[in-house]
Amino acid sequence: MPFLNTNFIQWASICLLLALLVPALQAADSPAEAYQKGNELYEEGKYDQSARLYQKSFQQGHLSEELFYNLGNTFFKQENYGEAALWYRRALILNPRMPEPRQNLRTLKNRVGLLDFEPKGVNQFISHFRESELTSLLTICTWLAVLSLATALFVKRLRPWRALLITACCLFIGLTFTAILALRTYRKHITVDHRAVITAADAIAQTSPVPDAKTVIELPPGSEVRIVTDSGPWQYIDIPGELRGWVKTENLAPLWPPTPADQKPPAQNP
Amino acid sequence: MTSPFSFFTFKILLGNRLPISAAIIAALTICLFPFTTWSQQAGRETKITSLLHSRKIAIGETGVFAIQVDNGTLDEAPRVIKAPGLDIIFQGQNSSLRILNGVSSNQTLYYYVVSGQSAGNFTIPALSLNVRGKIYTTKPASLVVFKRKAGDLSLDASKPYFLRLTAPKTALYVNQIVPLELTAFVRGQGSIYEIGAPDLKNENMIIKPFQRNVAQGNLMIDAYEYSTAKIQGSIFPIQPGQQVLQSANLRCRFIDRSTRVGGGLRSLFTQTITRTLQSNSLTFDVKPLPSEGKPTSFSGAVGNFNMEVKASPLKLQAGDPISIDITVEGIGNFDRLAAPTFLSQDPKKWRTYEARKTIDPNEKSDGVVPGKSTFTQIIIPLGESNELPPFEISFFDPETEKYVTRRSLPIPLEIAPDIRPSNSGATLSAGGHSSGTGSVTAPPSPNFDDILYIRKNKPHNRSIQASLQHRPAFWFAQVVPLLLLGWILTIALLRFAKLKGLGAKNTQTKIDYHQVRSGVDASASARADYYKKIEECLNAWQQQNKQPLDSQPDTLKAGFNALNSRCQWILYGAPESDRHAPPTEQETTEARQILDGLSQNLTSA
Repeated sequence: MPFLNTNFIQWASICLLLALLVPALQAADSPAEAYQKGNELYEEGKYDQSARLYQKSFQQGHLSEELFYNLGNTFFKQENYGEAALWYRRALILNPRMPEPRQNLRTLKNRVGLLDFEPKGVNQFISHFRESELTSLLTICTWLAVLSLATALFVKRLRPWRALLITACCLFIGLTFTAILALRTYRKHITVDHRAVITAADAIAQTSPVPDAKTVIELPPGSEVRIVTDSGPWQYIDIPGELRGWVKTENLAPLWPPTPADQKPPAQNP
Repeated sequence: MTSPFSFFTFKILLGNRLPISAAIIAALTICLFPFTTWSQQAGRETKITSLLHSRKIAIGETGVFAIQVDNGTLDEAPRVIKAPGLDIIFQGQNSSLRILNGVSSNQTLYYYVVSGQSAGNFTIPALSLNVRGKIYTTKPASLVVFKRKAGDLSLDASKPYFLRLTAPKTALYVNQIVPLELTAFVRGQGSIYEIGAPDLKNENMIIKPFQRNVAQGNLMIDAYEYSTAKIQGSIFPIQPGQQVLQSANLRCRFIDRSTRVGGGLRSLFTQTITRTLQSNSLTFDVKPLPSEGKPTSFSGAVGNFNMEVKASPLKLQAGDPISIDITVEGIGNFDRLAAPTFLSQDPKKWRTYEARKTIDPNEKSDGVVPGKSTFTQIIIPLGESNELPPFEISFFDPETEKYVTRRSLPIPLEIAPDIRPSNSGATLSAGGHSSGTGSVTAPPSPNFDDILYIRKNKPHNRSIQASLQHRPAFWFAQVVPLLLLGWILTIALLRFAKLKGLGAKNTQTKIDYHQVRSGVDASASARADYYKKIEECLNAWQQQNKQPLDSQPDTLKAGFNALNSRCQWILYGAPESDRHAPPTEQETTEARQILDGLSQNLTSA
């Protein structure tokens, strides 16, 4: 046959080979692949390369508490305690009930004496939930309270169950108020807004935004702070222990949204 | 800041225009003093201190030297103190009594006027003085006598009163502390009564609070005699460059000479005025600290310091705390002095706690006078060791213009291993080797020495999303319960409309109670049918009866309600078996009786 000449077969072979190779190459560069390779390098003790692959996976859109937690571990192994604490805390934002980053943060606290806004009592319980979960609870309880009340009042067929429906309505109203209070507490004390982590090893909080100002307190790496005012190269911060002070912007990283370790967002003027 | 106490006592001493009230109080105090305090002070510790109000005086001017005796009095105060190059002559004494929490203490000050005849550095030697037969010795004090320049513009005899601001040097390094002297001059002897707090401002310099002591003296300027009141403070720059310390303001109360009456009664009629005096300004040339050779432990301290480290106890077990007292003495800026660095930062060997800094307010350095600061720190050895590692401080010496690092010597320690039972108990319990004697073992405590291993399970990929309220899916999900609620309300509305329609119909065609009553068939096969008829009957009675049910007799009302409740139960709540069963005879009899009662009541109405 005339179209089955040698050139045609060669070109077809090349095209077929490329068609088979492209997905393979894509797979090698996929976030999941980078994550898996990062795990393998971690096991081999190559923490620096492992961290790079994890960050690559993150930059490609992979966002999971496992990735953040593993990334924190690589920084810990490289004794970059500030970044380690930062990624552990980010893992906890994605999954507040994940026990591993919580335990590693305690290890870190034991090692470098980092400061944190440790929630206590009810706040500690609320900190195990995401804001979206509390909002969902509030919405569901509100609807159930409204629907049980409407059923008790207007559905004649369920009139013998009216007492039960009204009790359920009261219960759901109570849960709604509880959810409102929990959400308010969350937004006041636990929300990620304005929270930041000290990433530098020798950061200090000072009394004023000048280099020679007096020291308020030394901030161990991994310490958690809340930004009160963003003044460009300096940040006015809330420090655990009811303290406030000024710290250089380069010494901290915002907790959320997550950015790779080498891509800190530029300081914004107020 | 004011210093009424020191000023007042000074007045007593020098005998200048003493107000009558003050004289009476002073006399009473002096009279009552031996009776109130003598018995209590006998056992209290006596202390003697020498004080020099100003360490620098000009030739021809006078300074004040004082001997302070706490809880005692000198057996005999020396009339003249011999010091080479200086004339020191006794002027008088002053006693004060203090009662704090019921415990009294007294203090006596012996004042001397000091003057120098030639320029130079002089020393007032240590004095050995007798208090109740026991000899106490003071510390020597150094004094600089200088020649005032002839053209010193800050001394202007054409003004009746003025204020002068001086500093011994104006070329400084950043953080180098230097004393400041603010002197008020008022024409006439003993004219100044009171001075307030000085007001000085410069954003690039830290101005330390001025001392409470006011040194008073006299000075001849161009054949005029002036009274002087001097207060001392200190200052240090925090920014390099040329720094101008603007003129200071000081409120001063002094005698208005124009209103004075002569003669022996003049002290009674002396009038004072208050003025805010303004001083000259000072310009400082501030050099930055060199970046070369800066030690890692340098915290910004400028001066010259020495360090002494003491530890206690020296024999202990691992895990026991060691109290470290570090005393830093010297001349310079103690405010910028950070805690000495502990040179073993290995957390596995030593656990260190933050040092607490204390600066004795009586021993503050102003750049000329030496000062002292104490650091207290707790360190816990976590294992065996035979010495405490050294501490280190670094500072910049402005005299040599170099950074200096001083390091203490290691302190020998005897640290035995920790053999406390709490650790072993926990270990035994964790290992499951308890002795079985029934004793309570402590639960094992977690160990946070190392992190957990990485997670290798399949990750839960998530996405950064807006909060729930900003997601369209959230609002879309609200449609389901909203529809449900709408459905319930619609049905309720339709039923309401239907009932209203029926009601309107019923008003047009009124149901006759008796007619419906006759239709109640006791022989109905099912209870539901029987009670349906009764319900219609009750409704007809309610429509036909003009008076509401509440106004009916109680027996009738109770019967109506009971029958109505039974109807509701059978028709809407009872199980199917009950609904389909025929009514019992007792039920029909009771129902009949109630309906008959209603019928009679309707007839009578």
